[in-house]
Amino acid sequence: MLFPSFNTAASGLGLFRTWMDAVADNMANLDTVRPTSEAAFQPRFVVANAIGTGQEAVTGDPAGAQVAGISFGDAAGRLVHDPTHPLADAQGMVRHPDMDMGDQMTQLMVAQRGYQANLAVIDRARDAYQQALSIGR
Amino acid sequence: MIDSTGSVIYAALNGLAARQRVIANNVANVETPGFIAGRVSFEDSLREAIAGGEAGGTSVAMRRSADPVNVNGNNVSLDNEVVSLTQTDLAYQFMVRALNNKFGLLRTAIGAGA
Repeated sequence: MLFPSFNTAASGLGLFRTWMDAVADNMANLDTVRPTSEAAFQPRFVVANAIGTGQEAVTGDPAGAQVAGISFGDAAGRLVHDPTHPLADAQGMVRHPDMDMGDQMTQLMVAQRGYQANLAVIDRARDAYQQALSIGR
Repeated sequence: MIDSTGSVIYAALNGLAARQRVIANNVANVETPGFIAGRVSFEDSLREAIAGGEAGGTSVAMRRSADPVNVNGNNVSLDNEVVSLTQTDLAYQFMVRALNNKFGLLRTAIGAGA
């Protein structure tokens, strides 16, 4: 690989981008209501893991982080008594997602900072590679 | 690599480039559960290699950081990584300049600078 630090930082960008997408989807569904006969909207949580053992970074082989999978929040959600809701059952109950706005905002900030940190690495790596290209000039 | 000066600079550039890659990997895994930051060392090996007169024998080794881990088993400290990345970049630029100066001397010797 010609400029391995770029690929490593790009893997981090991809991870945190996916994370931000997941949070955006969760936030959009913060007030999604389902009838009690169905599962509640389940918030998505990105699970990260490292590519390889870490020794790859020393030799310049592919390294970085990746999305290992997605875990879902509780399908039971929260039962809320709202008899005037069109989806309410005979007891007047509807199912809200079990999701907390504060928690989602925190997740969003973590993902955003992670994204910015990887962008900073790309900046620095470009400087170093440009220096390397000037050898012998 | 030309002569002993060139070999030393080349070995240092190699070690610094590896350190930069490992830092990039640490930052990419800043939120990965259970990830332990990597640290690259080559200076001691380079010193010994220079003392032995053969800088080409420098080995670049990575060990795991012994810093305490947070709740998800990760111990990457973003501020430490950025400081280390800045140091690495400056050292890299310094070594590139040293190498270019070396080539400048050679160019003068060849006569291109006359």
